[in-house]
Amino acid sequence: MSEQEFEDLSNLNVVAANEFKHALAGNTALLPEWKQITTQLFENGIPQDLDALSKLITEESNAETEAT
Amino acid sequence: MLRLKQLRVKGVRGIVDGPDLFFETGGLLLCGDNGTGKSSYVDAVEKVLAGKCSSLDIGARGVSWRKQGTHVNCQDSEVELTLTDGPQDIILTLGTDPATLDKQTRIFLEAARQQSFILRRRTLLDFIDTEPRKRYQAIESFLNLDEFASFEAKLKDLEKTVEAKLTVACESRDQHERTLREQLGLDKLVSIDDATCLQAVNETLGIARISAMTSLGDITSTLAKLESLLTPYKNMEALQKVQLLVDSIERIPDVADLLKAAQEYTDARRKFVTEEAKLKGHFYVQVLEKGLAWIAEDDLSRCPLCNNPVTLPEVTAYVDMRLAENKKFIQLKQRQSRARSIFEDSWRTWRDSFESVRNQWIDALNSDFPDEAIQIATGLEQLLESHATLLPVSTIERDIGSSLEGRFVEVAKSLGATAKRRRDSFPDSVRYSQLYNAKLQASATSIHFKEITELNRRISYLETCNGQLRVLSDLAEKSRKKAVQKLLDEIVEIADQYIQRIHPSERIGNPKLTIPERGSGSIDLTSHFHSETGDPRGHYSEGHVDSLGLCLFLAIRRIHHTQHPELSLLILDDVLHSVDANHRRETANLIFEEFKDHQVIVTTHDSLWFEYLKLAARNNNQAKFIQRRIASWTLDTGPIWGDHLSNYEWLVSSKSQKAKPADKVIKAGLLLEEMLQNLCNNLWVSVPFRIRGDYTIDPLWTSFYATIRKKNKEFSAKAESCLKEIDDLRNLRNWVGAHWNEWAQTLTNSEAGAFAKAVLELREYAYCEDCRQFVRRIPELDGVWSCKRECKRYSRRQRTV
Repeated sequence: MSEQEFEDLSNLNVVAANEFKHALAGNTALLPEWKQITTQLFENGIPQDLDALSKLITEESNAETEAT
Repeated sequence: MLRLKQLRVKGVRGIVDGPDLFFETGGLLLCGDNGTGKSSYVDAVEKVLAGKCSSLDIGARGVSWRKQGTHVNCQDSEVELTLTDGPQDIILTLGTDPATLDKQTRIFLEAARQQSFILRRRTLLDFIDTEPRKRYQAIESFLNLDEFASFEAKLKDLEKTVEAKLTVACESRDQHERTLREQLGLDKLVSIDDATCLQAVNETLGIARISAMTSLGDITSTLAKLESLLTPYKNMEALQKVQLLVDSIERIPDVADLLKAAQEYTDARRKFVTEEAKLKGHFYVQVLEKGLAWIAEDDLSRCPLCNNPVTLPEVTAYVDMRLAENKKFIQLKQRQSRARSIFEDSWRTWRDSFESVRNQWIDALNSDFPDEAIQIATGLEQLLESHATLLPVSTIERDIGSSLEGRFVEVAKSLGATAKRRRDSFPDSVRYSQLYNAKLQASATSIHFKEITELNRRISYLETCNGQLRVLSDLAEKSRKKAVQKLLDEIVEIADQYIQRIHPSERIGNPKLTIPERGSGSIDLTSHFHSETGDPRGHYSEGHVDSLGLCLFLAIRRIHHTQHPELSLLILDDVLHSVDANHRRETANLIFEEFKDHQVIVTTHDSLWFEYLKLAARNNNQAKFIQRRIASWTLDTGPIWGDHLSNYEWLVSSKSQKAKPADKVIKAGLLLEEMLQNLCNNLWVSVPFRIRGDYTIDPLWTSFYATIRKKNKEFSAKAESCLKEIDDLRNLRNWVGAHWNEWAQTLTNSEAGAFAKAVLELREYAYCEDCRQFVRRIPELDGVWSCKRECKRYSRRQRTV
């Protein structure tokens, strides 16, 4: 195993993120909107926050509250 | 890069006060029997670097560095570890605050705290023997998954948020359902849906003779219709109040009963008063009965109290009469009391009823209580107040006469008639009730069913969110496991390379570390044994399991080092008990070849392996090593060096100049013995065989001296004088040898000095300080004797100038 390979593997955050992105793309149980938002979260590497997903839940709740 | 340079230890475990350890760039090889203090040095290094001692701070009750870290005869322990990066030395002690150190040293210490760099005999099999969860924890520190783990944690948090919203929504929905069921009279088992609600409301509409709804969509228009029909009944609340007033008036007790109770009371009172007037003074029943008994028993003819003449029959008759009078009096008193109580209760009840009517009157009829009724209420109150005590019969008759009856009945009738007239002025209350119920049900359905429908929709959405988040969490967990698995695959690949180096062609190895499907914080371990795969403990010999444990540790150390090269330190503390000689040799080669980039410290109790280690370190590693041997240990002294270096250092020190001759000869003899063992080994000197290699100086010297003169003319020529001196001092050497004896005490300083000088001179020719080794025979160079870098080189034939 080369030093470079070692270094690549030493940051498992990145390895896991890549695996996740791959799994995300191939998953059929996810709704399109959820898949799209989660994929966008990973555009710049490991997501620091999940605001977009959180918004998806909260916005719907707010809309419902208003409707109620 | 930082490395260990020197270790001073005082009062730690088996060490009282030194001796100090020095470390070369390559490291240190330390040999000593069991219990001579090797591990105490390792404990001290670990405590200073990692802040804990893994052999003591093991979590067992009663075992810790604090309790057992200090030597049993010492009050305190001191450790001083010198690190160096070349030009600069850094001294660490047990009390060093990392915050006071430079960045490079802090990083070094942080790495030491996080990584495993020490393997001990007792921890060799930890990774194999432990449960899968602890195996995971053992490598968790270098998984480097914090950011991804944080992402997973946030996903879990979102799941929790959605769960909380779901709980709130479900509770709210259930509350609406309960209220609606109650309003519609639906059983718990009946589901709340359009059909059931429609049917329930339509039934009530049917009772109110209102056309049924075809769907719940009609509910708004139905409510409007009901509102319209209820318009004339707007004052129905007032009707309810009037009805309640009518009911209260009708509940006022009958005046005849009231007067009957009053009459009873008057009669009872009158009779009691009459009877009371008849009584002549106080009456003591017991006195009468007792006096009668005296007269009868003693047959007295005179009264014992007044001394008047008496006869028993007269007295008996009189007493009986008096007792009868008294009995009647008590009965009348009791009757008066009962009658009075009934009278009071009746009148109070009447007054309370009347007061209740008075209170309701204004609210229900919106008019004042009639004056006549007020007079009765006031009068009643006064009457009850004035009759709180027993009054004369005449007063009772005056106050509560039958004349009251007419007034009471008349007023009650008048009140009832007024209230009823008002009640009858309202529309049909039955009809109102039907319409009102229909409106209530329709309204409840309109509000609650809508809420329930909306909440169900929201719950459904939140469940979708939850499902989606669960999918994401599952994907994230699987991805993390895959990433960890990749690293584990690398670890076992390296470990397997190491195993194959030690055990070539033995068809063992190929270990697998696997993250199981279940859970996420554990690692399963399997390995091959010929065609079998499974837990290595099931198939492997003890030696094979030891090898596997060591190779896994070394592979993990290799990965650790790749991630954090700041800590290039490997300490193997007396590992590999069960591995045979050949495999140990391969293990030694593996360690020094694969860990050239580390400072390696190996301790062992096995002299043979010590030799392998020295050879392997020399052959595979360019760096310098220090080799030390501990000869013995006592509780009072701690470890005592027994190698040639320590004897040499003593002989050239100032201590030697002042020492007794016998001590000097003993040290010189020990040094000579060590030198001869090394030289006979290195120069292929044939020595008469001794079981267990228990050689004394005599056979070693005889063989060595003969070989030198025969096989290396250059060496024997150059070292001639010291060789001759040692050989001439044969008796001295043989008698003193390496052991203290009485005869040695008679030696002169001159004799001892000559012997020591000759031994030190021989060392000068035979030992290279730069290569830190004795010369050895080089077969490839026609039997030349030389050190590693040929700093010292001796040809078979004497060179001519």
